[in-house]
Amino acid sequence: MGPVVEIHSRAGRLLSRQRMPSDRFSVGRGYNNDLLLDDPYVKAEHVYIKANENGNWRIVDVDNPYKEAVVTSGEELLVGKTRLKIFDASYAVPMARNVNDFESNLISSGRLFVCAGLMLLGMVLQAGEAYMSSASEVRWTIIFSEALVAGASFMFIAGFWALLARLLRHEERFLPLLTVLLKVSVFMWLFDVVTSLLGFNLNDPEAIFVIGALFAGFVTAYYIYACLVLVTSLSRRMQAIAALVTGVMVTLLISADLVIGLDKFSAGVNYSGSMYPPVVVVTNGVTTEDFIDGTVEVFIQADENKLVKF
Amino acid sequence: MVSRLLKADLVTRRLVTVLMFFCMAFLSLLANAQSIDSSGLFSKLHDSVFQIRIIDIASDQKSSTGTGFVVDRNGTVATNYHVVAKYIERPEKFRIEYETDSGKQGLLTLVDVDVVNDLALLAGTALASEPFVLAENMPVKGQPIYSMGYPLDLGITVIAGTYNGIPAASIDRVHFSGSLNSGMSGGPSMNADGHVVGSNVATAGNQVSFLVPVTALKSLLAHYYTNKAVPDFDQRMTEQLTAQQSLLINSVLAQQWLTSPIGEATAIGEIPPFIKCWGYTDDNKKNLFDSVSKRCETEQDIYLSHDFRTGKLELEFFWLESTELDRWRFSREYKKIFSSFMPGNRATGDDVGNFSCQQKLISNSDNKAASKVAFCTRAYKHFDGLYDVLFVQGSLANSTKAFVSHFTLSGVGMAEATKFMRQFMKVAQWDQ
Repeated sequence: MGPVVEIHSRAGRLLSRQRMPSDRFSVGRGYNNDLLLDDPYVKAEHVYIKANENGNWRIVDVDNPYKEAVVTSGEELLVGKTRLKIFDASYAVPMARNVNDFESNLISSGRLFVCAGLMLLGMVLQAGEAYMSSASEVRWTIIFSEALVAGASFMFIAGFWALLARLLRHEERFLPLLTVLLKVSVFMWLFDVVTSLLGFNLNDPEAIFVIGALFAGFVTAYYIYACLVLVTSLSRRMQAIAALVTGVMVTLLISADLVIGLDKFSAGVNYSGSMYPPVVVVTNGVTTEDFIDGTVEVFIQADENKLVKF
Repeated sequence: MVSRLLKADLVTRRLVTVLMFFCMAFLSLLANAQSIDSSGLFSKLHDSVFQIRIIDIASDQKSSTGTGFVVDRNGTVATNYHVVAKYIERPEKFRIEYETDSGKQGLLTLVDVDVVNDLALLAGTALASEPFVLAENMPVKGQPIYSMGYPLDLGITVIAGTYNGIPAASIDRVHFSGSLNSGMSGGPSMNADGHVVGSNVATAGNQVSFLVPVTALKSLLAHYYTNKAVPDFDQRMTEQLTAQQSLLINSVLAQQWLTSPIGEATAIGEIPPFIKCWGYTDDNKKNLFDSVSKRCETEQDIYLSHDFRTGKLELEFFWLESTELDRWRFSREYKKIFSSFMPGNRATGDDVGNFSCQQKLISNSDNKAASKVAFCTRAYKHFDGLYDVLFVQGSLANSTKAFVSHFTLSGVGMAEATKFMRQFMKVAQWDQ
């Protein structure tokens, strides 16, 4: 078994990679050669190449055996106008990278039990929300129906995408699509909990708003990308661009609302009404006098606000 | 023809707006007016009572009407601030005209206002009408008084009613038992001698009407005679509003604040004579929590324009308690109430800036955070140094009991607001 030769174009693009039959091989345009080069500057019988005792490669001109050169494994060599690289079998290749294929990841998590688990979690969260936000007697039938409605809406949206996948790729993709949707929903719900905690003591609700806008953009981009990967056969780059554009649009749309709001008169008051959850014991309060002293700043800010023309 | 109808319709709609605003019941309009006394008055003074018309310059039609009366030989006319408020707000869009009962018309210029007492003075050229005499003394409760004006654009009208004194409140108003109607605003009310005791200003319907006492008119006239026409109405109104809020807040603070229990907490009781309280218990049987609330407020506010009012002071207290809800569900409900507070007065973006807020946790004596407090304020655009203030304090949501105390002040200075907040936080408390 001989070495592997890479044939590169003049511009350096790899054209082909061929294994030679033995450590001695001939190169030329003629069909009797071991390595055929499609290059008008190459003679019918141009050079022969053989391994020398140091493990390097000796190149000998067929017409003039005294004209020769030596290259090491992997070093570039010019024949006519074609660039060649010769690699012996022991040539060290770099470490393998980790395989991280988005699509295969998506499909592998689309297993039934993952889906069912997430679905159940989504339904429980929705039903829990209905229970928590009611201050009157809650009948279990209401909770149950809330859960069913949540489950049905997940199924409906995933079903819609799955139908598209069927039309565009002739492939069955319901479970992975449902998984993606459920992951996004659960993620959003958790984010909601976290921000409402963060929003508790924030003096400018705008900051939490911006974080929310960025998060919504990120989640949308992920969701759209995943769906496009599963549903369409567009190139990976197109899918990424489409998802990125959608994500950025969502972020901008939400932020635009905030920016417009800055120049808009609001008859209401934008203090933060959120509270720590009932299990948190907070110890970092200020004294009444400190609080009252701090209100001077609020008056100064109000004086600045009144200069804004609506 | 069509466009005329439309314009007429527009004027009617504006009139209806004014009518609704001062919501005057259309009762017994001329029922008592035919007595000997009132007919005598009428013949003597009817040409000194004018219909004041605010004319929209673009359409050359009247946009709203009121009543005014001549108060001196120079032809100074007294009316209500709210009659000419539109003109003060947009002088380039409106002009002020009068028309007498006998059909004489002319232009008037605004020379002075008292926004707190809802009075305005206008000067006319060549007004040869007989001036009204301003009464030296107020009548005794129960004595008849007569009110003149141009209700609903119907022509000059005399209404007889009864003087019922000046109830104690933040702004003095004569309680007049008679039916004032929209359009009569700014007209004179006289005792049996025909001397003016007050200016018509508002009604609560069903014969409960209010007059601005003549003393306010006298001081406004005195100011006008000394200082002549006001060059800058915003500045004049700022001075009046600032003085009024300072008087109100300081006299409220000067009193001993009575407390009253609400649940396990302490709320503030009535602060006579300005602040009156009303209680409310939520009796919705479906709710698994009990809610007791109490609301105290000043009864009067100050009219600045159609959608801008000020001078109001409101206190609110909520006690929430539940034995059936768990902490988590209770805290949700509590949060809804805590985050629901709104400013106590109406204002637009032309009048005020947006609110700015500060919210912090407040510790009690043992250094454990006990409550969350939000303080928000917005500044008045035309009246420097005046603010609307909103304050909410709520206990932290770590049990199934909660106490919320809240107040809004409108049109107050920073010093007064701060003093009020300090006193309020001292008194309204829940020792957990």
